[in-house]
Amino acid sequence: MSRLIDVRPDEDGLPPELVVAVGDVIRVAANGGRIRSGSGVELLGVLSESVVGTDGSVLTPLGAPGAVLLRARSPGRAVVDVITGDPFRAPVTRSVTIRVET
Amino acid sequence: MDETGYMKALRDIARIAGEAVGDQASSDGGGAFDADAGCRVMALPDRLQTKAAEVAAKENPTNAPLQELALGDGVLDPLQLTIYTGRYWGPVPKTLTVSFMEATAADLRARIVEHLNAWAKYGGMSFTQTSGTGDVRISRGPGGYWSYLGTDIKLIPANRQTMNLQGFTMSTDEKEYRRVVRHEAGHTLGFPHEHMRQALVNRIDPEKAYEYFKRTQGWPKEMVDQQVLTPLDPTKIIGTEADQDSIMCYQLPGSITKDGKPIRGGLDINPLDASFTATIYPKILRDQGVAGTTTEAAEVPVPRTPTVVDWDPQEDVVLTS
Repeated sequence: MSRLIDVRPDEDGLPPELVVAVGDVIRVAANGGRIRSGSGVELLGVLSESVVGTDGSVLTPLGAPGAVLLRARSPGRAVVDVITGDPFRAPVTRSVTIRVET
Repeated sequence: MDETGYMKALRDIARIAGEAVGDQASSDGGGAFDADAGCRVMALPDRLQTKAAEVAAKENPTNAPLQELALGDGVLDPLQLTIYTGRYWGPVPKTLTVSFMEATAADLRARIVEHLNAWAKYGGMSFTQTSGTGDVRISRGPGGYWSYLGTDIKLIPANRQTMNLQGFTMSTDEKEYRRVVRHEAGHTLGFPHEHMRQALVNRIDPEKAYEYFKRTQGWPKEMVDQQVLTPLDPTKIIGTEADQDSIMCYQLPGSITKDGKPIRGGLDINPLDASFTATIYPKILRDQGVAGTTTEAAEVPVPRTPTVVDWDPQEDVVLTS
């Protein structure tokens, strides 16, 4: 069973290493992210959180994106940079190693 | 807001502006000279309205009629084309209620609402705390700083926040309250990002921006386009000249601009922000005790019309270009 793993760096901190399984999706509360090195992890996107309004339309707030989605695709090890804080003023970059197991 | 709503809002603004300058024409019968009336709004006769609109648009393109307000084959009266924001709350003063998604200490709630109300010093919109579910629902959880735009907040499910102020506490610097809370409150009032104005976007070198945000944020080109490179459609907004010191303007580094100079970004509500707010959200009705809520419209006085003056058509001035 694949898992949706919710990571909130500003509230819970980041572990130096995150061990996940192939098929897991990792959702990081962050304004930006990138894969610095390694393999096994795919960056699905840096996304703006949106909601379905009461009129059925999708509404997106004004502000920087707030979610980074990663997917564990294959066994391996990757270093991922996670960027939080105001992207236009004082972004904070932290790194986490994600180890993907079978 | 539908077309009828836009028209009503625009008429209300025109009427309030007329009242603000003391136009007594309609209340005294519309035609009699009143030496005590003071300054009046004077309107051209009907035959010159279209020509006047054409001249105004030629003089300043922002005066041009808004295409999305066209009514079939016709176009709205030029008097109704002086202001437009897509998520506008309307000219009648309103008080938006505010609640918090997480347990929040009273002093922190009061401090945040005080900064939301920094706009109320200049315009007719204000904010007040409620123990129930507010029109504005604030979370201090993860996700950064953001707000939905203007009347869109009425469409957000009640269990979701309409504004996010990640990590704000009583220890947060007062400068950040001014810069961030007031900025997000501006979005709630319907103000978009000032750095998306065409004149400021034109200063940005796209290739430098793509490289910069890729390197610092990991953003793909599409996100950079969305965040900093897509200008607001000038036919859908009306406002001051592009203002890099507006509270609604992000700070952008000189390394991504064509001239090497940064887009400074605003740190607080500045005089242009204040005067624009005073124009589109006039305080006059609030001062007169007329105010509304977002669910209960205020009683709007019967509209007045400007005094129309006329002369022999042979005396009309014909402009040639």
